[in-house]
Amino acid sequence: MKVLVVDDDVDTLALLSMLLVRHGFEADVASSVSDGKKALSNVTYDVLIADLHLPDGLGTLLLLPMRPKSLRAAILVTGGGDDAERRLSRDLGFDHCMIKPVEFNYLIARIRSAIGEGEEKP
Amino acid sequence: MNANPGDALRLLVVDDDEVDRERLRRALRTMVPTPTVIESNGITAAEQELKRTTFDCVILDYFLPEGPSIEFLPRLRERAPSSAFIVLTGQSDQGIAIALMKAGASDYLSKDAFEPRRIHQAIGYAVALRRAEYKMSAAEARRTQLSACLHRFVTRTPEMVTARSFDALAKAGVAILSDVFDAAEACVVLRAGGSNVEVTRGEGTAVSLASWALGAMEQGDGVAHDGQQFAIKLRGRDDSERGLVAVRTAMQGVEPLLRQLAIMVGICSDNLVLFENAARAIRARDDVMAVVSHDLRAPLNNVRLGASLLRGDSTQGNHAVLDRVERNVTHMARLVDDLVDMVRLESGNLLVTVWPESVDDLMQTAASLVADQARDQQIRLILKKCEDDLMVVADRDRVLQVLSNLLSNAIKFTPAGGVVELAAQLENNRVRFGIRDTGCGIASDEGERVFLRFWQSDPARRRGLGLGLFIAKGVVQAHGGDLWFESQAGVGSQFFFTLPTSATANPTALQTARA
Repeated sequence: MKVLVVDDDVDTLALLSMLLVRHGFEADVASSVSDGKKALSNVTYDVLIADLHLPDGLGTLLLLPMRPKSLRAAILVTGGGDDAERRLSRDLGFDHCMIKPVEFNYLIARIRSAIGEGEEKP
Repeated sequence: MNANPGDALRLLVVDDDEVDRERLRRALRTMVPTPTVIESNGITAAEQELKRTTFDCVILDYFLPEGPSIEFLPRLRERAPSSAFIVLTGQSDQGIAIALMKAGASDYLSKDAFEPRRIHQAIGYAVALRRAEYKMSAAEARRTQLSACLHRFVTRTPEMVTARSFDALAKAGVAILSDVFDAAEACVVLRAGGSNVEVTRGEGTAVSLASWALGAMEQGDGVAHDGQQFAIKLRGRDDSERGLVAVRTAMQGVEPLLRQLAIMVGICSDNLVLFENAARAIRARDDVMAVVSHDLRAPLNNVRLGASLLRGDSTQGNHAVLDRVERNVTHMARLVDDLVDMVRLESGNLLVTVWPESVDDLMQTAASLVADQARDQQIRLILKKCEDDLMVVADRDRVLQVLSNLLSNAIKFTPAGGVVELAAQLENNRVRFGIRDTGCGIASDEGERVFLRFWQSDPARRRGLGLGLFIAKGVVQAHGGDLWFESQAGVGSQFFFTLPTSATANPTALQTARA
């Protein structure tokens, strides 16, 4: 199961990918919308975890103009906790919007429910 | 009517009989001071004279070539409104005398008793009476004018009070000055920050009015008056200089109203300064909040992720430390959320996205969120079963926030072994939630204060920000509901709040409400 994490915070990228690897995922990282888009078009990912506020635009741009067919779960992480952002993320192809600080177990549960898996390990 | 009492009078004698005129001439010659007498032999000639100049008194023979003078009296009076009219009659007929007075004559004299003293006296009285009447009507006209002026002043001042910029205030001020004082020119100069906002209106020379006023304000006590020009300095509440108002008007006695207007413009400009300061402070606060909400969460996120990572390969002892880290991250996140919510509530920007939600499900989820806390504090959490299909129209996350806040408070203030009960029922087409505890209760003198920002039941033991109930009430109100409590010290408290049911909510209103 391949995951792409897009965030401009190097600590977040490092910690999140280590946690994902520990839980049996394969994790790639990108730190901007343009890098993320490049990765999404070159590699087939099952899961996308993206920060909303990226240096070159909003994370919601990653799934425009179309969400890759292979993507089984897309989760947006925001620092704002704005109700409008939550709604917007769903309109723009994300399955779920989470507010920082993210509880990792909850994040994993959300990914599993989005890809239609139970609690068993991938 | 230029003459003062005591000055020589100007008289017009209208008579076609040379003998009568000579008799009158003689009688008038002894008058003190000697009047200026002009003679004409008929109405037409008299009208020419009246057109040319003003007379204090017009003395008319009753019979003139054009006809009886009574027929021409109204016309002559119109031509010479400030003059007195005396008619000479040949016969002492009471009926004619009354008709003459009605037609506007001040007096009548019989030619039979042509005695100089009587004539002097009649002229003197008639002129004095006419002068008094004329003064009175002038005063009445001025009163009417000032009252209209005051009316315009009162009805137009809201334009200044509602102005939201110095430019708008100056424009409103100039418009009102022009209108109220029927002014040829008007000008308002406002001191806004370091510079002046200057607005003038008038017949091309208003700029010179402004420069005269600015110069005049350099010296003196803040009021200048030069011919038809008036200027008054504006002052704020702290007596600071705020600019000036100036006007050029032919109106008399404008100063009291102009002073009043200057006070109002001064206060309005003061209010603008206060308004701008407040708006700036709010913007600064919102900027800080944007930083707080976005930038504080990112490092918090990393701390939490780091703790999760360490938990995987840590010893039993380290688990307890990681628990504390997690708890503090959660607490810090809660504080950030509360601060952001408080600012949203105060600025009216708390959005709720409403949807039909199952009451039973909301209650069960809320109870599960506080189950650990209840267990830790040995509180029995009772969930009362409600009607199966009870629905509310609500923002799920926001209602869970309210429910878990009220439940968490109830647990916190109930001693071990106590009970916290959650129930909901349909009441007046709304769903009323109730959270009852067997805790210490809220002192009766606290009343509505518990809903104030930063309220703490025990300030010495503060842990949160004291925003929980303030936000809960705001969230409920954003749904169109209400939140209140009943409490008895030592027995316990009961908090209630209402939400619209899917039946009562406007079916098209499944959208966004604003606090």
